[in-house]
Amino acid sequence: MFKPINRFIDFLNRKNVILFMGITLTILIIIVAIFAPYIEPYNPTKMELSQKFIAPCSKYILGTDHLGRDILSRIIEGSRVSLLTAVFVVGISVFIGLTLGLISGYFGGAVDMVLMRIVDVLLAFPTIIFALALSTMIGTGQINLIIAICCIQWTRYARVTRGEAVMLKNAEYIDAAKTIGNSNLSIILNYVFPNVISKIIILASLDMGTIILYCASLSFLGLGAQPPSPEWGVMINEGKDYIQYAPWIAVSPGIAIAVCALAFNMLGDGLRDMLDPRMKETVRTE
Amino acid sequence: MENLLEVKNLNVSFLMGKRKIHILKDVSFNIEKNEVLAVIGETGCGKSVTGSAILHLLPENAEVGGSIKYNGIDITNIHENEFRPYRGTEIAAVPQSPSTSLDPLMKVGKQVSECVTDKKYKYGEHKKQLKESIINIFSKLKLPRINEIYDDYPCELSGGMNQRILISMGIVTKPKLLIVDEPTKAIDWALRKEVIEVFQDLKKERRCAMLFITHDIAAAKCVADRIAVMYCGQIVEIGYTNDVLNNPKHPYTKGLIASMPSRGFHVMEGYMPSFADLPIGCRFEPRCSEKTDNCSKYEPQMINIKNGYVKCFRFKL
Amino acid sequence: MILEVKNLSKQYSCGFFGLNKINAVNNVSFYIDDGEIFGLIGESGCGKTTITRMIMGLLKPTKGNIIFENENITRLNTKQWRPFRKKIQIVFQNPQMTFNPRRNLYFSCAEPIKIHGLSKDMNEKAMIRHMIERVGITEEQLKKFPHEISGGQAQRLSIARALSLKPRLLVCDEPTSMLDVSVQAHILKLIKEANEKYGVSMLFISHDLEVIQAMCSRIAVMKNGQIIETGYTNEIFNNPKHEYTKKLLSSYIKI
Repeated sequence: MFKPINRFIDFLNRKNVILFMGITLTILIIIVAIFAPYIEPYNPTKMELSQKFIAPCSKYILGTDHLGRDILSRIIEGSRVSLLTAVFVVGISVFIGLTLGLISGYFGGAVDMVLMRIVDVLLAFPTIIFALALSTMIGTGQINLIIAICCIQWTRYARVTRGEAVMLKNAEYIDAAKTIGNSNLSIILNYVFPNVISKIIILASLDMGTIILYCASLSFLGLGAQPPSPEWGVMINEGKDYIQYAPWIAVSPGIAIAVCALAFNMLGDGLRDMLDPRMKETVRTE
Repeated sequence: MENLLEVKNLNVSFLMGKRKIHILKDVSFNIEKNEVLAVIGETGCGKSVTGSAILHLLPENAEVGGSIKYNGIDITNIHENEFRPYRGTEIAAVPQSPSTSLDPLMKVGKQVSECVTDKKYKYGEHKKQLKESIINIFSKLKLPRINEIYDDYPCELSGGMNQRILISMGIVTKPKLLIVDEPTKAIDWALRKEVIEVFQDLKKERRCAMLFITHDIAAAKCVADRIAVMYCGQIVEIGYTNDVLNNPKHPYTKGLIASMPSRGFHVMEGYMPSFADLPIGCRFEPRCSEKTDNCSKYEPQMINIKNGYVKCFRFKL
Repeated sequence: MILEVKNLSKQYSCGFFGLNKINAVNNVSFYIDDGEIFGLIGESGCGKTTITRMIMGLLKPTKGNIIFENENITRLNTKQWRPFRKKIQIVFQNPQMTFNPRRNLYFSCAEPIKIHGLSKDMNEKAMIRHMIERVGITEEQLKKFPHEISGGQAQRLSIARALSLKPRLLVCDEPTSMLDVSVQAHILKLIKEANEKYGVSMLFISHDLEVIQAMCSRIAVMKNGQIIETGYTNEIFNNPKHEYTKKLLSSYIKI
């Protein structure tokens, strides 16, 4: 009786279906984000007060909100904001974290000491609290939100990169590379970097989901994107007042966030299984 | 003399996906009581697989054919439950590397006493007796500070000492047959000498039979009564230690001995073929300097010599 | 005299505030003549590898000098070392760990040629072909990754790579301790050939007395970071003076 189930699980493991599903979903989300204006059935910001609080029906597939805006169109438009923010945050933090991590790990010494203490201090802050504090200081808005999350996120990459670099620095083939006459720069680029990058890619794809969640929660709290913008967190915030008689306003963007985070987590997990099976223990999603 | 272990036409193959890869082919040897047989050969020639096959330690995808008789009883494919009584008391093993074979978080004395499975030794009087007997073994193996060493962790001891702890794990149950896997691998010469001496003493005092798996020819010479030379999953030559080393009959044995630094490190051309792609005739044929037309077509048969055999067409009695 | 090591010491600090000092190498002096193979023997942990790392400039000595062809190379930075990299090369103990695990072997073999700009009058491929031919490796095998070839093959390749720079001094740090007897023979032959044909001087490090006796003309015996006896191989093997040397030689099992 369990045979088909076992066979199914076997199939999942063997073919790395998680990776396949992750890639498909991610690509789907990216396509939706790119072609948003062509897919949206209605203008996402156009208010029609006569059409407010319409439950999901054939005309408005996910219903309308308290200002009569089509929710499906707003979610599609919102995917652009969320994705773009996540890509910027991950991109900037990977760049900073990787560079500083490589320098700190490979050269060691005083630079390493100073950088790692900074990282320690920053890691002690919970991301959301830090972002809240920073936003009150420099003001709200999407760009400030990106800056705030980057300030914390880069430390993760710096830590992982630095750990790997320190380990690799003592490897025999790095010694061999030095004796052949490689300069420090070419050792970092040709030897250390390729050995670190796969771990960083995995970590980054896992983080994409986390960061989409962060952005949504910060926007929900009123930082980041501001109300007319169809950001998912903002939409949930707007919908929360009507959750008793119009639950679709808050629930639909919530599902969108969940699917997005799931897609990137699946992508990251799949990549991890493919690139480095040993990493199952060392890198986890938050 | 009586045979303690008799291995006849042992075949071991591994199932890799849908393909069967034959590792051991028609391996036959016997070990008499109190006799040490050394198996020498290159890395990857199937020495350790032979040991594992006797100990029933092969992975699940392995298939064992032929017969292994211990004291006249066939133990080749018996169930794990039936084989259990043999473990420890009859056949024991000394695993390969001391650095990975010992539990780093358990005191070495405890690890040795764990090998004794009899429940009565767990409590009271008998427990004390057991500890005494283990300390006794430690002193026989010339471990220093024998009273304190019982409560040391493996990381506190040197490589050679850990190696001796492993040996005491093998002999604490007083087995009749000890299977030793590469005891001198990757240790330096001062330690190697100590380890070899331990085995020489074991042979003299305990009179237990051993299957001594090694690639160290000098160590085999010091310890073994007879030597079996293995190449590519087959025993190509087996005989008395002195005969094999001083008067090698198979071209591979000759090559192996000539490649030692003190014999002028003569290079044997070519490499051992991979197990997935074996030559049809004699497995040594592509590298052999004395090959004939027959060698590439047929497999050589065993030619019995005094206390052993040779597998080569060129060999005439 | 190609290399002279004078009063070389290396001290490691450890423990609380680095107050504990450990002498890994203590006041070691020796020299290597042009075209000879000089052996260094001793137990593991006696400081042999620390000496090679200092000679290769991978580790800064605490005290003492290393003089190569009348130039002091003890305290050079990476850039100043560059011209000497061509002249001093090393073969490591663990052959499979010598190459970049993420790149194929061709990349690793082409590296010294690219770095030192050797391919001016000859193209790179031809040079590499010539270089691997000598050690019996085919071009097909260069497409593989380090973990896909055997230890013996990797070690031959690392010797070929070291020799491609036409060094004056080759440091061999336990080049055969991880290999089988039959494979070891091949490696030793290559090293000996480089010495006899191209006149490369060698510092040969090993704990294997049999190998040392077969390879070296002069040897030094090390214990706890110090050289306790040095002299011609035959003299030391036949007539050891120091107690420790006698003990060490007693572990030599003749066949």
